[in-house]
This record gives sequence, C-alpha cells and structure tokens, in this order.
Amino acid sequence: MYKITLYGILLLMTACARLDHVQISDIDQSQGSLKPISVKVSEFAIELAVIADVSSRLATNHNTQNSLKEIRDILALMNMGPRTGNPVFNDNYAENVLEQLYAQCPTGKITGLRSTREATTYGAVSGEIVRLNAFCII
Amino acid sequence: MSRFLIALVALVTLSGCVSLNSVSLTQVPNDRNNLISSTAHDWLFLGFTSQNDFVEEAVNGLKEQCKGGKLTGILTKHQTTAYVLVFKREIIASGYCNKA
Amino acid sequence: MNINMKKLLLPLLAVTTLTMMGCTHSIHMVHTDGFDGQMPTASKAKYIEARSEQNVVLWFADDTDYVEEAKDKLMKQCNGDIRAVSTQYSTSHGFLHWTNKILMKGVCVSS
Repeated sequence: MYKITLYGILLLMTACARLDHVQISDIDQSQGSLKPISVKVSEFAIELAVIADVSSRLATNHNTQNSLKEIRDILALMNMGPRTGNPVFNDNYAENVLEQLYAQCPTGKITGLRSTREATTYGAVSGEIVRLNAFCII
Repeated sequence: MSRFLIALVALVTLSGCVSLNSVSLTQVPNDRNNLISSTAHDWLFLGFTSQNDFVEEAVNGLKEQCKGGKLTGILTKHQTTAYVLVFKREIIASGYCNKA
Repeated sequence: MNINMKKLLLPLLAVTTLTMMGCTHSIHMVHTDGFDGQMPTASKAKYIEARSEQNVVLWFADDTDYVEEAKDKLMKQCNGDIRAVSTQYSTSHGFLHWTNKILMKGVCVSS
C-alpha cells in the first residue's frame, strides 16, 4: 500500500504535456483589430492495461499478481486499435468545439484558426485535449 | 498442408494492412465539375527514412493539372500500408480546379 | 487490507474489466478550414455533417475509402460552397477489432 501511494504521488508530480497534431490556418490582419478567442475541450483518459500491469508488479501476493496479469491481457485484447494518447470513454467531447468558438465571436469573422490535439499526461492517466485558438476580427 | 500454409503466409504478407495517419478537407467550392487528383508514395524498410520529400510530389502533381486555376476543396489523405518489414507511405490528394 | 477486502478486490476488478471492455476511443486529430471571411446570414447558411466508418479486424484493411465516403456524403447535402469545414478522425476500440471513424462538418452557403 505504501509503494502504491508513493508511486501515485510521484506520477502526479511528473505531469507532462504532449503535442500530437498542429494545424495553423491563414491569418488576415487587414480587416480590423484581432481579439483572441479560444476553446479547449478535454476528456479523462486512462490506459487500464498499463494500470493492471503496474499493479501486478506492485502486488506482493503471487495469486493476485497472476490475476492482475490476466486482467491486463484481457483489457489489452478488448480495447485493441490505433490510438493517439490514452484511450477515452467518450468520443463526442470534441464535436461542438466550433459552435463554442463562434459563440465567442460576435462579428462572426474568424481568422488565424489554430487547431491542436494535445494532452496532459500523468503516466497511464491523462487529459486528452482538443484546443482551438483563433482571432475574432472586430 | 505445408503448401497451404506457405500460400496462406504469402497471402497475408502481400495483402498489406492500410492505416490512415491523417486526413484533411479544405473549403469546398460551388463549382465541382473538374475534380483532379494526385498521389505520391515512398517505401521504407523497417520504418527508417531520412526525408519526406514525396509530399511535394503530390502537391506538384496537383499544380500541374490546374495551371492558372484555383484549386480548392482539397482532400488530403496520408496513409501507410504495412507489408511485414516494408512500409509504403502514401499521400493521396484530390481537389476541384476552377479556371476563371 | 483485511481478508474480506482482499476477497472482494479481484471480483471487483473483474467486473470493472468486463464493464470497461470495448468502451474506449481515441481522437487522433481535428482539422479545420474555411474560416476566412464573414459567415453568411442564417437564411443562406445550413449546417451539414457526414459520418463514415470502417471496421478493421486485427489490422487487416484494404483501403481508406471511408474518407471519400464521408466527403461524398457531405457534398451531396450541399449545392453551394461549403465553408467552415472540420474533419475529425477517431477510432473506437474493441475486442480484436476496431472502428475507424470520420466526422466531417461544414456550413453550406447557398448561392
């Protein structure tokens, strides 16, 4: 229990930022002043197979170790496929980002749209983020 | 049995597995009569490469087909086909060419 | 941890595993384009979207035509310009298989 708590605290202190995809669109500064606007949506992500694997290594009881290894293998088989970052349990979290962005721009003129797919990771747990930054032409 | 296994292994090896790396679609025009497309690829052994110049090939291919025109509604796919130790990276781009 | 807790832990983990199986997803990228210029008035603009999927078993996939499928579905909904286009590529994970998904959205501006 002590080891689990210690490793957990260490993981929480070693948060990393990760950048997966960046896109920058045209920036038009000729139509007026620019006001920065931004939308960020994120979803809790966890790699359960890694958690099970780490738990099996930390377990002291041999039977518990074997059971956790089996759970790790089942999880890896059950959630197979390409992934960017840790998997999430809801894939709808980024569907309304554009509507949210437009809500921040009263003139409806948007330029310099930057779209990034990033994350803040704490080992096997992370926040998977889709961020849209742009300028609203006032 | 062994011939069957060899044939099966050959079939699996040569069929390849295609995966999509990235996709993008730009603003689509009203006039969509002239669709043009261009592809470019390169081969990697064990995933090693030192350059990505094949991307420009796809862009130049599109430009060649739409000289003096405006190219919009560009759909770009970057995909990889895996054949055991060898990978084929491909850019497939298509768009609508409008010449005023 | 007492014996009762230990006895409960593994069944609890097993139930959690079964509940969580095949439930994970991953958004790979979101691409946007066509935000230049002012958005048209509500009477001339219509929000459209199109989705397509591809089921893949153990990495065996012949093509990526589901992308063109989504694009064609989007085009069919609009005879005018399509602006503010966004493309989302994601994967839903499963047991020895997964589903690649494309979601394309845009604003159809009637001429």
